[in-house]
Amino acid sequence: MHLDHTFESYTVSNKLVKIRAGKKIFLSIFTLFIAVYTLSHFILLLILFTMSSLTIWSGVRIKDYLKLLMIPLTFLLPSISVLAFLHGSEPMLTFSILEMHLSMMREGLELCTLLMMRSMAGISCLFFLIMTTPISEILDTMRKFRIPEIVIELSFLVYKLIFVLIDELESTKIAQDARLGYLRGNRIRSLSLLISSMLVRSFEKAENMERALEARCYAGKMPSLKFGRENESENKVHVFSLSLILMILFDACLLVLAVEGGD
Amino acid sequence: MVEVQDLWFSYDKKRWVLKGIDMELRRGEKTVLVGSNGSGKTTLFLHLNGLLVPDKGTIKVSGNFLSYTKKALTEVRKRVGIVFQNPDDQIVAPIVFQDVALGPVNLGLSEGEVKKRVKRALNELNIEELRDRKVHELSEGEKKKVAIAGVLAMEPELLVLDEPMSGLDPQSSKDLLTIIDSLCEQNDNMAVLVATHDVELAYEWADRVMVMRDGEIVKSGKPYDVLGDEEVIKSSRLAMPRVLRIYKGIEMAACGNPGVPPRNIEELLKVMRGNYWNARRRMGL
Ligand SMILES: Nc1ncnc2c1ncn2[C@@H]1O[C@H](COP(=O)(O)OP(=O)(O)O)[C@@H](O)[C@H]1O
Ligand SMILES: [Mg+2]
Repeated sequence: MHLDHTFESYTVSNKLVKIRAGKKIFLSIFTLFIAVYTLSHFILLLILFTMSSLTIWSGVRIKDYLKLLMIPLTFLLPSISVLAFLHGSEPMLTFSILEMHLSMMREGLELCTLLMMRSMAGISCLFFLIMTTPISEILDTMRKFRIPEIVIELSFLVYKLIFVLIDELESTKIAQDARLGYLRGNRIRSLSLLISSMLVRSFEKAENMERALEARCYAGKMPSLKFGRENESENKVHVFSLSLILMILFDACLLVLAVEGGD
Repeated sequence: MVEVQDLWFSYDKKRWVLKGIDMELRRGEKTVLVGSNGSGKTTLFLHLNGLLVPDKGTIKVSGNFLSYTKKALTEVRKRVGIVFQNPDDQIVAPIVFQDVALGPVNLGLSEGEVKKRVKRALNELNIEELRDRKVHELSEGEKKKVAIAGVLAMEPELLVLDEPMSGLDPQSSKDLLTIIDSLCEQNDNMAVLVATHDVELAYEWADRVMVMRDGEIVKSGKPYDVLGDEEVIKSSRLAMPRVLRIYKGIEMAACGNPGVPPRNIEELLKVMRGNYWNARRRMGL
């Protein structure tokens, strides 16, 4: 099972594929800015809900969506929850573990919630983009905006390699599970073996991929989807502009809400 | 087409992986490189289009010595197309035609030319119907063909295939062979080089066979001469093709059997039937 291809296949077969990449980038980036700017829980939830349901509606299976969501969450949850104990001065709950007193602060908890919601809203914006827009189209748009070639090429390679890592993680874990590596007592050893073997294999894969790309004279250009069609038809023009109007309206509403009630 | 002279290479500068390889590939010829795992086949291939730089020795492509400037490398990679062992490493785009177009687009060809080449490559591999399919839904054999199409779209003069049959079921392997054969027929100035440890395939299919052992080419020539050489085969940790072994057995039993050695089961059966009827005749039956 290649996660990389699973996700990429969504980008070419979802219901929003006909809408130009520029618009989707605009929607997701602009909404992302609003999410960063606003302090209102309501707007953040609204963004999270709209963007994730839009993504899922466009054809992504919920299971796959959640799977991808787990990746940032595993990093976010521990790092953000630490804040609840560090920030603020009004203790709500106090634990004592081995002579140490840990207290959860009210302010900290509030900050935590806000950060968590903001991150989730932001992630939902970016997920919308990467799951509805083929990477080649995103790169083309970046090129149109005169983003340096090196950044574009790096983005593509990072995009590819993230999935290489995840794939390797999964297959190594399956191999270890099959050999009962996660029974009690073997945990730490298995985990460190898992990580090291995953890294080694990812390096190998990355090297193979790089060679294969080089062998085909890859110079940073991904063929766009237009090569597939004999004669490109833009017969859905009215849908395009309608979608743009909708997107602008959506963001405008959010912006007004954020400015009005944002304190 | 490609000439390799006294090629030495080592990854870690401690142990030689290639030890003085000499080899020549000619247009219109199907060469098979057989060797057990780790004998250095892949490493040798990576030199042919400048992905690895030799420690010693020279490589000539179409009469020019390989040079390692960016421009020269592009030129060489246009001429020498390598299909790697694992199609999943090679196919990077989500849709078939998009991946096949990768090489031509990066060569800076015009849109019309790219479309033409994609069409021709898919046609030559007989996979036009896969054109709009998503790569991850394809079977292993189909992926392999897509990977080959991606290389073919660059219109190489030498097509190099690294273990093309690995991971394929017998029927898909056979299909793939037929397709490679028809490719050779359609482009009669293209050279084909295949790496494998499958001696049966090499014996039946190759115009020329080279045996590689521990970074050296120990013997090369006609399939019968090379793969029938028991000493070479044994010391290279390979096995003699079954057809050949049986044939050699009955050849001895029949005290010399002039004629062309059989290359596959059908031809072998013919020889055996011939022997049988001869024997009956001699015994006056
Ligand atoms: N990237 C590498 N780094 C170091 N050693 C390598 C690397 N790739 C292959 N080797 C070594 O080179 C030798 C030949 O490998 P390879 O060319 O892959 O053989 P084959 O393709 O015939 O199986 C092996 O001993 C292998 O361990
Ligand atoms: Mg190999």
